[in-house]
Amino acid sequence: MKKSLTVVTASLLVLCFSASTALAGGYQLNLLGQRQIAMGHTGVGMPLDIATIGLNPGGLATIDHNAILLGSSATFISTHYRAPAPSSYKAKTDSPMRTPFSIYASYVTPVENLRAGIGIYTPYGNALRWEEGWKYRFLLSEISLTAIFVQPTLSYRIGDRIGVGAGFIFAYGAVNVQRDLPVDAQDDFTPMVELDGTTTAIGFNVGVHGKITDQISFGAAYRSQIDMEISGGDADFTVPTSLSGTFPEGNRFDAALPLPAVLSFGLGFKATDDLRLNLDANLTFWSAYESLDFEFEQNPETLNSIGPRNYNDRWIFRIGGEYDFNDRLQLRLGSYYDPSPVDEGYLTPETPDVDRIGISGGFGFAITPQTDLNASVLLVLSSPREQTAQDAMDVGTFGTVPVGEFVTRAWIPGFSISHRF
Amino acid sequence: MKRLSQLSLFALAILVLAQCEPTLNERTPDPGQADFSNYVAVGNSLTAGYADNALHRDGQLNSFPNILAEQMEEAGGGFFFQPLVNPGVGSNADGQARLVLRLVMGPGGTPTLAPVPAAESGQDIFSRTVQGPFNNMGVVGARSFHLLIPGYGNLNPFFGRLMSDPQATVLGDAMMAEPTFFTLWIGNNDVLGYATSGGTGQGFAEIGDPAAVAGNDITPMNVFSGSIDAVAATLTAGGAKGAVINIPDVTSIPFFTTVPWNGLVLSAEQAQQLRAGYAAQGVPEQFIPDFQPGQNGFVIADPDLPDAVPPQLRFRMAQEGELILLSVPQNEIREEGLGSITPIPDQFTLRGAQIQEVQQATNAFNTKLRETASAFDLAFVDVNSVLEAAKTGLVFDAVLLNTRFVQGGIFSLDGVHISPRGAAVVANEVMKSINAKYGSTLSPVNISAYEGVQFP
Repeated sequence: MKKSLTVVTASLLVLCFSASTALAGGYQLNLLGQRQIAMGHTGVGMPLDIATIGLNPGGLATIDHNAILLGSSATFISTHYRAPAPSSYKAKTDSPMRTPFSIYASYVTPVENLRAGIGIYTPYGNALRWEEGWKYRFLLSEISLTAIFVQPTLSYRIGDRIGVGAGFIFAYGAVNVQRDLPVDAQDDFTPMVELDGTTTAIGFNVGVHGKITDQISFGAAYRSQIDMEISGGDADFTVPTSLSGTFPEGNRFDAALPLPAVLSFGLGFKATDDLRLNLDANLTFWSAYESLDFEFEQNPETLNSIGPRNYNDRWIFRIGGEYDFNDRLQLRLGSYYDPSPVDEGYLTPETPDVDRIGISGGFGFAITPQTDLNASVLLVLSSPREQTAQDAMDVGTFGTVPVGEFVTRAWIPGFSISHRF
Repeated sequence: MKRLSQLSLFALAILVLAQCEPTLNERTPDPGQADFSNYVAVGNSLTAGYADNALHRDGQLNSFPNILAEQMEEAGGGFFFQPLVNPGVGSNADGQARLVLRLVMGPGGTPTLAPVPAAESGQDIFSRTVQGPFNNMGVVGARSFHLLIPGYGNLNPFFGRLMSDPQATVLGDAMMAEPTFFTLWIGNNDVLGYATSGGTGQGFAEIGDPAAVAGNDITPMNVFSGSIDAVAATLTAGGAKGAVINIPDVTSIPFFTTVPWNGLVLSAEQAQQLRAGYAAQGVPEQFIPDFQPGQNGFVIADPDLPDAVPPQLRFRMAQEGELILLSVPQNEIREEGLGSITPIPDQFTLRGAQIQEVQQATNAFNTKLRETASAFDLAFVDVNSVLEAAKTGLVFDAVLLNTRFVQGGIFSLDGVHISPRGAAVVANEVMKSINAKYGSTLSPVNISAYEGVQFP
């Protein structure tokens, strides 16, 4: 084990020099629990704590105590852009730090084998602010996407080995998009539009967990697609007065953004008494994201836009481990491979997506026998990705997508505190 | 102990990873075989940064050579000294201020956007002379052969304000700046003088005398060729490299394409009334324009109709392909029956034969410019093709540009000269050609960083 820790440490350092850094595919945030994040965001096959409400509701049946778990991450994401050669132009994002969070509570009900719980978590989100006046300011200057899921859950144990669970999801979504308009004002301001809307939607999250042997367990979970349909959002145009006919004041817009379904499988191994290993795979049904269209109430002929996205379904593969360093301290490591759901030609300034490798680590510390502190850090690595004018022309998006190279660096520390009673 | 050291190594690795920077390296533009240390731009109003019907400071700061020079600075370029006018509304040769878009009362009392002078009169840009040598030797109104005329500053105040000496030539003053690199964009006025005056001067001729060329004439081919050869020979005499830029076809320029030839829209009743009106004035049936419901060609004067047609009947409907100039009094078209009851005078139209003269000259001049670039081993910039393509729209940095008046983004409010955004497009084209010719890697500018027409 000591040797493997050294090997992992060394390979982390090698990766630093061979790759550069990025967050989860598309606008997904796989940050459902700190213990899981530290282990490459695994845990579908092994319910380590009540974050399983989010990862696999079937696992909740195996947890024999009431608990609360409060956790949050802080995202430090920086995306860089470089224009095609021979341009010396570069731009970067100045993205605000975001704090995706997860809150869980579980309750051992008086009914035998029945557990109840609730999870409040943020499985999707995006926050990006490009530097002022950047090359593609007419496509996007700033975006903020927030999705908060509230999921009351029931989980039931069948016999000694099988747990099933189901949760109802109530989702709240908010989106804010800002971009400059390709017109110029005599007065000293930059014409721009801000689109702002909120919505709610419902969905479900179901899962099953089973023990094959005392050492090996498995899990499968499915969280449904939730469509964030914004109807009558505010479209606020800041334009020269003489153009108010084209860009009317008090305009409204409709748009829809899918939060895709995720099918997850996991295997858990208790390798030794003090070492646990997880293997997970998630299939995100990104193909639901075909197009991002905006329809306006006033002057739709000019203002409506269609933005083909044509994302592809993608598997994410994850591996993680947890080692009991001593009675109170657990060390965790993990990694995952998260290929981009976006083809060249469809890369946009709001999701300049890349294939990513995630490397995570962290620890758990028992402050008291009932109270744990968990900390994690996730680094997301990627190589620069280029979208050429030809890529865009091939799929018919030229003029509506940026051309050049993107690379994203993300490091996401987080911590949680859990209490059992 | 061993456990502790492993723990700290692990922690260190995490910390190092957190410092990882994305790997998109900075590119450093390289001059290649060119020497940009002293770039001199030679040309006319398009080089000077004249826009919105005036020479004004904003236009000069956004002149294509100034944009180009800023990019050259990254590749060994030096300071680009321009003969800037003071900040203000600028002036044209007639002392008028630059045009700006304003909401004015249109027909029926509805406010419409129109280019109007920014002030009652232009600013005095001519009485204060400036001291060179200058890097921007763009002289408003200059034709090819003007660059070589001693004392041209006495004929053209735009050179008068910056000439080194009353007997100076534009080219001589450009050479005083000791160019290591130059751009030459000349020839536009050799055609435009004729075209913007509605083809009222002398058309394209192979042979002519420069002293006899009037403002409305097309420069004769021999004069143009001789001038270009002389200018290129002088500019390259000291070993300077450079780029020669060709001239656009009139059909790419909004001054000639904004007013449609068939913009006379009539109801059946109006068509009938117009025919009756002509008949009442004693116009014989066969000379009455064939007004029909719907779109009609404007009625234009055509002095070139056969001698058999009496002079007072030398008018007809415009035909497809013929051009009505932006200078036509559009309020008279709307309110006084210009183009329907009375013919549009010849100075506001380019008729078929005149367009042929213009295009023949443009093609011949562009051939000459290309040959000259080749003969002197210079970069050649085909701006004509770019503007041709822009007629149907060109996308840069996700901005759609075209050659439409006001909205198109490329041209300024006079419909002939380019906007800052148009200048950025030209500068990028010039850089593309320079890079290809000299193996340099000048960095194109972001088109989205430059403005088109400003709206009130």
